[in-house]
Amino acid sequence: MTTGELVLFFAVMGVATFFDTSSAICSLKGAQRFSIVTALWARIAGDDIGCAGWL
Amino acid sequence: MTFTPFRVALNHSLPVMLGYIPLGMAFGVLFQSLGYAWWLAPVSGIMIYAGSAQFLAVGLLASGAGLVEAFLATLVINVRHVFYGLTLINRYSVSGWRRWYMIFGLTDETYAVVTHNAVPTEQRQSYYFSVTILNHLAWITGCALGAGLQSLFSFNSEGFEFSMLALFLVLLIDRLRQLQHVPYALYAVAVVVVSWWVLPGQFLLLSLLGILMISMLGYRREVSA
Repeated sequence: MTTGELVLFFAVMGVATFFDTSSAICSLKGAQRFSIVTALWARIAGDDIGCAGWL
Repeated sequence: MTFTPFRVALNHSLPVMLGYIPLGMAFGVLFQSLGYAWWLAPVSGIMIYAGSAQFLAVGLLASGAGLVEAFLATLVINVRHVFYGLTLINRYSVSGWRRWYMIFGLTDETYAVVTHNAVPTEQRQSYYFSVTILNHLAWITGCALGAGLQSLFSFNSEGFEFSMLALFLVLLIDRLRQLQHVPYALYAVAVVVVSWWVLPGQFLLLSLLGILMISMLGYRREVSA
């Protein structure tokens, strides 16, 4: 694997790490409604984080 | 006394940083076994910044895995961050690139530090950012030291991985000293034991789910009380 390919490999893994944090998903305005986990959290905990209306 | 976010963050992050450096070195040493240039180890620390995923990367690279496999494997191995993220949505309220960096730089230990320590509301974002960048720098330093030293003098890094266990014990002891909700801590221990018994190989995810449910129910109970 060349250095460039290796850096791309790292970048792909870095992007995966980033997406794992759901706050990243919820931070995107307009994408909030697609976060089922966040909506469930809002539903169960009664915490208003902008997703409660979806359920 | 004036609250200086960076100084306080440095004080709180020091145990994590001291744990990250030897663990990063262990990764650097392992990475060198692949035969790449030493400086690529800190580059991986900058770009991936996930201990377990980086150790996994060494195995994936050695086996010739593709990008899709790397992406999926990292996604699965770090899935616990979904639960961390849920509790940080309101905390990470800063806008701009710092927010994205804080999300990228979230690790188990950074999460433990930022959720454990009470800081003045107006200083929170600077504090969280400082904790994230300090821990990240320590990790990168460890990766660079390990790979660099290994390229100069070949040595055996056996036992370095114990630093992670020691680090978690330090964080746990600190947490136990200020424990407020004893029943929830006991429930969490029970959930881990049951999860271990039910699914020994996959107990972490199951126990995280169980602890999250208990936390949410407890939170709802406290809010409605």
